[in-house]
Amino acid sequence: MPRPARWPPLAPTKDIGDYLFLRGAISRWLWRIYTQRFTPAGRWFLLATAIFVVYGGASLQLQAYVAALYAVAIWFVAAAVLLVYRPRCRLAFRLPSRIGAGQTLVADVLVEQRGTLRGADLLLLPHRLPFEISCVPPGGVALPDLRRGETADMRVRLHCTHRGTYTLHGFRIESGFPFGILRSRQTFHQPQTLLVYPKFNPVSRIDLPTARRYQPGGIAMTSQLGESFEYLGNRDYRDGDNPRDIDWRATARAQRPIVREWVEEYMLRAAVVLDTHVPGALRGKGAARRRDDFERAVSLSAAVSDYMARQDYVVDLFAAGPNLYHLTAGRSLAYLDQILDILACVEENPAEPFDAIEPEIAELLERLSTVICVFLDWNQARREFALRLRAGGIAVKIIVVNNEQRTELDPAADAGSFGEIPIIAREQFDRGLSQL
Amino acid sequence: MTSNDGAILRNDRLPISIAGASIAAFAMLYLTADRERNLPLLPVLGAMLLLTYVTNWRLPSTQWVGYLLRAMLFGAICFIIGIPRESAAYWYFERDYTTLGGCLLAAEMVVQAWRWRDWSQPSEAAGVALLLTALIVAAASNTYKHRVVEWLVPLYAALLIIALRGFGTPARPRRRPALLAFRAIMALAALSTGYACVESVYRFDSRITHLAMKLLNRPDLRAEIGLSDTPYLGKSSIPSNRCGGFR
Repeated sequence: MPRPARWPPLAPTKDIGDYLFLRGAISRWLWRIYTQRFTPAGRWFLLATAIFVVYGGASLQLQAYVAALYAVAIWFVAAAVLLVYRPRCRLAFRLPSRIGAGQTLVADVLVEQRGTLRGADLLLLPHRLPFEISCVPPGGVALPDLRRGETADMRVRLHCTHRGTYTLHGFRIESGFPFGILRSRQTFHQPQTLLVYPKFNPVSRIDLPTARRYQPGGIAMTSQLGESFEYLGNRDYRDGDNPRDIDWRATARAQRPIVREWVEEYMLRAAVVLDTHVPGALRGKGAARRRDDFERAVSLSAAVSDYMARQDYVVDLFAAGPNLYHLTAGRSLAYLDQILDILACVEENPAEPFDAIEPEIAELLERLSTVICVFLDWNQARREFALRLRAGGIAVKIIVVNNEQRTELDPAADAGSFGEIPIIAREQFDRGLSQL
Repeated sequence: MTSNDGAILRNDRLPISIAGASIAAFAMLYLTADRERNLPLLPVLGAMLLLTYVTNWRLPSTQWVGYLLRAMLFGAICFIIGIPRESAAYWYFERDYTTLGGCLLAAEMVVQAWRWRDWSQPSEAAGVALLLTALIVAAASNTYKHRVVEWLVPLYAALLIIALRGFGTPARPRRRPALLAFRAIMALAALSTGYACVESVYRFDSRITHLAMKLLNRPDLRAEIGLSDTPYLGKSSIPSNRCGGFR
């Protein structure tokens, strides 16, 4: 998602990102110095010093130079200490690799004091967090008084607001000693990728016009339940398997639950098509509204995929941003986590995505029972795409995510072809969609 | 402690160190200004500031109350001191203007102290207070009374050093005496350095001014600027040089 053209936050934990005004190496370096080396108190004092220096520099006959010289002396001593003293610690931490949007990640950090001097005013804080992730509390966590060799278990909370793939750079320990205006620091770089899943509420029911389709040879490795006729073999029990399929003799022999596996050739298979189109021509509020709708569409796709996976469908997820994503999941093929992995990093597309999706979906046309299209608008291009799918003999369910509830074509006019087409507004989405 | 709106606040009192710095700034303005004209004003403002420690009552959080109080205070100050009649291009060096400005800033400082704020958490409230005190000190230092400034600025700087550490930082563990002592030594070092610099400038004032004048006048440039009766070619970039023309 493109960043707005405004100044990045002054929080010492935040990185600059790709802000419009800070693209050059020097400007980025200066900004980092200003936000990470100067404390908030230091920044205010810098302003006060500037006032004294500018006013006092005009004439030595006036006494303003006295305050200016004292302010400069304070900076001088603080800078001298910064050169001499810096924290000396050892850190060990592990961070989870996945979390949901709106959730708070808890990082347990073990800090060991290594310096001969005991630490002074030490703070533990995450290093260069992306804009979408905030440290709680924003200023970091104060470390206890540690002697050499002593350790402390610290807990840092990171609040993740938006879905996406982010790099966490690690942590740093810093000290504002002696005056709390400049920070000395020790950085622990340990880059790690964090996937933030889209936020979604589970859907309890979706009205789907559907039928089982022949899957030639079945799909390798799918777990089979009930409607299978050809015995494939035994395997270990997995969560969600039907207890009726437990092979009790094999279980007794192996001393662990074993289930029978079947080749199923008839099963429910559904595709979820996510509309990623945010036209490049859109600017300002129009683009922002469309992006909001897109984020809700992503969350809705997650909810639909979750529902389908729970209903023992095989789910094919199609999303075409700058890259085309196609994942087949459900029934032990892949888990919801993997669908969410894709939905965490899918990006908007300035071009219509159907040219990329249609050939891919055409290959599966004969095997699909249902296609659920999560659109951002209902217009001629989308209508034709849906009609072509329907002409292929597939049941099509259309859901439009549009906060303004204004679409190019009237969805009610196509109710005869596709059934009722719901238009989901933000308020409705925020309340939670129990059924579609 | 709860605010008028019922919100729980951690600390609704201006930190002692900032209050001390404010009083030092008020005192400096009082001692350097024309005392006959604003005799009761700054002591009254100082007393109003200190009164915040006596009572838990604060101004209601509605904005218009603050603006009304400002209007009253500013009006009273302008009435007591009087608005300077002479317009000056460099008003910020005019004593009448800087005194009036300093008193208005002192009144604003009092209003800030009487507002409901959590002084312990966001650095913004404390930062604004610090900036106000700095502006009052700057206004007060528009004077020739070196002795007053010489004594009060170190006091102001010492209180500022204490105030800076308390800016919206997370709760710190128990203080260690050795660390406190070391911090005090650093503060003394800063104040001593400041004092040494001030004394040096005061002692060598005329030499520094002379040096600055020499630098600003740039006698080496004088020969090259303007019309000369003996023109000569200096180091200048002439495009024809590149193609081997005039040298």
